[in-house]
Amino acid sequence: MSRTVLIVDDHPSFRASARAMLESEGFVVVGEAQDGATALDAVDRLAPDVVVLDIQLPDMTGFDVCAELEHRNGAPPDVILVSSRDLSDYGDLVSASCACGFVPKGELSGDLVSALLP
Amino acid sequence: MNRILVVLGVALLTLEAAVAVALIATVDSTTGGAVGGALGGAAGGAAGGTQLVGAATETDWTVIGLAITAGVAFVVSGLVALTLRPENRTGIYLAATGYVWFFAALQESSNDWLFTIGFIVGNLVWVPFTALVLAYPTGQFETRLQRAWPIVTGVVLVVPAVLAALLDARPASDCPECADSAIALTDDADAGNVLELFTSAAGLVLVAIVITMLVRRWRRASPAMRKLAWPVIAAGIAALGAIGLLVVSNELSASASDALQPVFFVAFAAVPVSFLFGVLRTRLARSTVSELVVALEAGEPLRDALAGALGDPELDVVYWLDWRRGLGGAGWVDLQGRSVHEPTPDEHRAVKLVERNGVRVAAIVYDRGLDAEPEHLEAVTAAAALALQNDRLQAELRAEVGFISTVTNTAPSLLVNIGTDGRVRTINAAALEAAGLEDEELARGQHFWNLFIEPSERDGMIARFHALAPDYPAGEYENTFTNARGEVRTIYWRAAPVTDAAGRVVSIVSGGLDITERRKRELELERERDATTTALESIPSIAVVLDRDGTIRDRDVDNPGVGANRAFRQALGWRDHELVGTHFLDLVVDDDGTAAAAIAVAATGGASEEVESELRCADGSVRAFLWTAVPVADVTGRAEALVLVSGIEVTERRRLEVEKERERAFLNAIANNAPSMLCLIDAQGRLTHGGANIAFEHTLGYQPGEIGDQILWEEFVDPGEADEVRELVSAVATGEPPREHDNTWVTRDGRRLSVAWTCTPLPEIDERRLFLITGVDITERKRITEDLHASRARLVRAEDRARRALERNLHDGAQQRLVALSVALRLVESRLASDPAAATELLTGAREELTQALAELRELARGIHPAVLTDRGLRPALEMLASRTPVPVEVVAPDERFAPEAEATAYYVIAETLTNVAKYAQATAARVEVTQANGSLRVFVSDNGIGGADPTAGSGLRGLADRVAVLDGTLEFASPPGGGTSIRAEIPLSEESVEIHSAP
Repeated sequence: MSRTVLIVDDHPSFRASARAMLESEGFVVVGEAQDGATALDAVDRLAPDVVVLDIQLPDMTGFDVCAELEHRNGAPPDVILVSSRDLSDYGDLVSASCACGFVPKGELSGDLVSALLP
Repeated sequence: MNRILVVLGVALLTLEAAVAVALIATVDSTTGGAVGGALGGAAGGAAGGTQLVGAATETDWTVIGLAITAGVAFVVSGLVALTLRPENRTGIYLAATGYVWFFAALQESSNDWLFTIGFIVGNLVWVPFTALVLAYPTGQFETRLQRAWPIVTGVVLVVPAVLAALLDARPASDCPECADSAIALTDDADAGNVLELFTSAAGLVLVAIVITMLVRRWRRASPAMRKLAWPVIAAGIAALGAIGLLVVSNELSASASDALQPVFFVAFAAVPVSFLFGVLRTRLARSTVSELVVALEAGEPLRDALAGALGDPELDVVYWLDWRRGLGGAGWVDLQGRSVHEPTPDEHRAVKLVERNGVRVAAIVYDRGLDAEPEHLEAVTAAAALALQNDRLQAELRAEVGFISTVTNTAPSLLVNIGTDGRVRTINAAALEAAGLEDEELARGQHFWNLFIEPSERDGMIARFHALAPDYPAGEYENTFTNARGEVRTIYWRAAPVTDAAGRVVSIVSGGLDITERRKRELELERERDATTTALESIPSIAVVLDRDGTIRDRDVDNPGVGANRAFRQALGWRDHELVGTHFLDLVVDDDGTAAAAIAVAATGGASEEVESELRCADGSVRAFLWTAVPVADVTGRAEALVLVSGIEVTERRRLEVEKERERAFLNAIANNAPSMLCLIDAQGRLTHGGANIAFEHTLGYQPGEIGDQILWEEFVDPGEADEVRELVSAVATGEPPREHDNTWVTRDGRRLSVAWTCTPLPEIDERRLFLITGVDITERKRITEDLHASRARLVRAEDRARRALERNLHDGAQQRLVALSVALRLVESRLASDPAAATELLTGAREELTQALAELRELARGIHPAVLTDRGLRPALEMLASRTPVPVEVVAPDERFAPEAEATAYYVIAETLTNVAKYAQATAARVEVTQANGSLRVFVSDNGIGGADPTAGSGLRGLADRVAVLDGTLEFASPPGGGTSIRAEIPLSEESVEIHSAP
């Protein structure tokens, strides 16, 4: 059974590359969002299994969006944080968050995401 | 009994007559005739009276005899007394008593008129009698009561008698055979009795009072007075007592009265008899005088002999010495020659001066009572006059000896009487003292050389003394010796021989004067003079002695030619002989009168003020001196005043003063031209007058002259910091090192200034501690610094912003594209084998992505720093900038290269401005002009847009200004509405940076 994915990033070129990459590896990309607010709305509406979430969004950070999803009713989606920066740039923030894991944007692949999911 | 009384009365009368005859025989014939006449009259009167009485009544002849005797006795005594002492009233009182007494006998007449006269007048006899006994022996009453008493007696006795004669036809009630009153108006026997009783009582009282007076007088009287007056006083008291008894008995029994009557008469008659007895005794005193002479010859002391002869044991004799008058005190001495007070008479004592040959000899001080017997006094003193003269000489001699002895012993001179054997006979106190001896006996008999000559010189003295024999001529000498007490004495002696009647020298009197002290003083004076001369010669001050007229004189007549001291001669170069006789003022250059005035002041005995003069030197030069003139005594002691001019040279001091004045002016100029504020304060913070420089006044906004007396921290410092400033100044005053402080000061118009100031203690002058306050107004500097800090902060913020923007751009741009490219390439990699067509499509997309990424990176790099600017310089960079600006831009710029920071600053100013032109100005054209002038790069950018730009809006312009300011440049902005916008920047060029960067 294919997992449904919501891609959240403010760069269209990354969203397109990520969709092509994840779909080629068996994920079903159910939607895209360019900022935090849109992402929260899309989660409510689409109820994806996985949210690939950019940390640096124009209106809020990926950590904030992740925390917000945790507090919502119903089962929250599994969150994979992505960024063009290195994991070490965020210190403990990633491990302290509710996300399942972190993938550098340049190394994004379906296998890597699957490996991080519970 | 009666016979006896008659015999007694006749005897008395006879005695009286004899006495009277004896007395009259002794007086001159005229007086004797008068007395004889009066006596005859009285006798005749008495006889007549007796005849009347005899014819009238039968009475007791005894009584009549006694009565007549008594009356005659009074009259005779009175006449004798008047003859002997006309000035003494005793005679009048005696005679009056006698005459009135006879009138009383008229009572016995059978004729009424005669009886009446006798009745009234009879009692008046007590008036003169009272006066007699009270005034005896002088005839003078001692008190006013005594003087009034006889009159009182007359009134008290006569008035009742007159009344009785008027009221009672037979006033003599106890005398049945007596006649009647011739003047009776009524016949009231009772009234007569009463009046008679009153008269008797009053009579008794009067008698008692008079007796009391007499007794009191008696008790007060001196012995001489008692001796003189006792017979009369005693007889008087007896007569008064008898009349008193008679009056009492008259009232009690007729027989007793009759028996007493003769007793009264005898007592009454005894009064004049005692008087005559007293007179007779005086007359007989001639024998006393001869006894006195005998006593004196027998060697009895004169005073005692006089006291005995005059009956005055308290008598005193003093002697008059003429020659003592000149010595000051009175000339009276006692027998021992001791000075006594001048004898002066008083209440009890009288003084009799004794003269001989018209020269006062002595004075006898005696009892005043003796004045009643002046002849006796005269006779006694006359007899004693020779003895008094002798005694006076004795007293004189004693006084003289005493005086000489006193003089000799109190005189400061030494007196020694020396025998021809050289032994001391007498020596006075001064000589004894000089010899160092206490007791005259120790000196007497000693050889004078043992007392007054030094042992080493004694032999020579003895030889010289003997060589003078036998004449011992007068001579004088001076010698110094050590006396018995070991004191060294110098005596000036003068000796002269004393010769006897034969002309032989019996002794030598040597008078000496102790000149030890004088000699010592002379030596001291000499030494002092030497010291003064030496001191004057050696002191560095100039000194010159002038006459009062100002001519320079010899300073010392013993050392002529010394007119001025060494310092004076050396300083001025004159020689002594050139100076002596010269007028001092001739040496003074251009005296304005002060030098002449100073000399004049000293010449009149005052000390002059200090005078500063220039004195002419011998070599023609002139030197300045500060000098004073004072009066001085001539060192030789001559009386005329001299003037000493002394002073110090001040030429060098004057030079230093001028130098100092110059220095001060120089310092003042510095202080006043210094940009720093300078002021002087004392320890209390008070500014001194004129103690602030021009910068201080200007900076704080005060006019010249307004500074002074203000307290620094109260007037010029912000009130909130006044305490701090005060404490900082105090700290310096207590020794802390001066440090710079920064405080807010206040100008006169209330502006606040930041002042960096320092308080520095100055050296103490005239016990005043002053502090120099130096301050600099750093308000502007502070503002610039603060601006700089703000500008730096802004630059840092701008750079920070730029970095963040760059990071964001990289992240959002090129990085994202490269991320996407990375994902795309991995997709290509996975599809290449299975789906080549899709892979090719993916590769095409990746290539475009890569091209975009490169373009973005280039653009980004240009934004960070245009490479064309670094590589080719300002003008190409500006031209490229212009080409990329949508508005046509004309660029005028030099081709030279400049310092990179200058080029970059100019580039960014222009780039930012052109961006604004493109964005806001709505301009159709813009112009950029860069020129180099005066070491600066001038940038001018203008457009023809709408203007009205707000320079404070946005951070762009502010950032440009900061950037320019970093290089110490300026940026001006102008944007009038409708007038376009222009920016003018001036960027300084440092030379080395120009060289470095223009080289390649």
